[in-house]
Amino acid sequence: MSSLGLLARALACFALVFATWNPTGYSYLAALDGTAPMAAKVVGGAILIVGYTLFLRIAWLSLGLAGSALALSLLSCGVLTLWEFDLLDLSNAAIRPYIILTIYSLYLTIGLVWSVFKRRVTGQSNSFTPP
Amino acid sequence: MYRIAQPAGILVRMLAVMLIVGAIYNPGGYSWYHWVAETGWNHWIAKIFMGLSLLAGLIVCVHATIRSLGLLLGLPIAGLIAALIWLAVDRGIIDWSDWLQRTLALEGGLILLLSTGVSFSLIRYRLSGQLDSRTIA
Repeated sequence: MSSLGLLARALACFALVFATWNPTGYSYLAALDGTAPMAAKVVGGAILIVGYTLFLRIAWLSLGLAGSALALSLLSCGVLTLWEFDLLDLSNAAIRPYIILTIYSLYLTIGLVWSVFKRRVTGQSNSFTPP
Repeated sequence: MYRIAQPAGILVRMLAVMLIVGAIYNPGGYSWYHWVAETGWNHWIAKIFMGLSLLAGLIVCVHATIRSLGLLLGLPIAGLIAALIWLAVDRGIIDWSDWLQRTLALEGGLILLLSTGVSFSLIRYRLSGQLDSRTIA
């Protein structure tokens, strides 16, 4: 996996999370209230469900409970560290949703690349049960 | 495409393990442990963040070691490293009564064990073609 591959995976995770909901008003959950035809809403929802089933399952299988807890606490602690050094203004309510969405997207990205990273660094691969 | 288990790659992994273990504690006086012990609760969120980062790195190394070496190979290699340290003490290369040399020898032994463990699945694959694969679902 090249750095371009890492970037592409991160962008896919960010696109999935931010397409579901974001504070700007242009998102799937916002469009549900709009005038779009029902079939378009269902297709959009189906695409998101497929994306979440794929990405969340990959993240859960590669990280597990302990890895997920460690990744999420590491990301939250990183945000708090930026706040401690005055690099991030948490009192600004407008950016709080973006922080949550970014943490969530980065968690999905870590889960997506973790097995690749581990196989490349330590040579230990994960596999599904052979048929 | 990259080639596996080359000497340069093993050396880089060893340096990375040395960085993680050495950043947690080293007898030189500049480490995460000294940072926390000497400056107290000042910037405590950054300290927790760095601690969690180093813990994650250490967990990756220890987990890879347990998985690649296991007890069957891990204990003999740990014994070999201990015997090498003992030999060095016996030959007078390491002065065991000196705190600095003793700490460096023990920490170096730990780094050697962990870096062997991190690289060993790759070495084993190149040596024998046995791929270290685990079923996850």
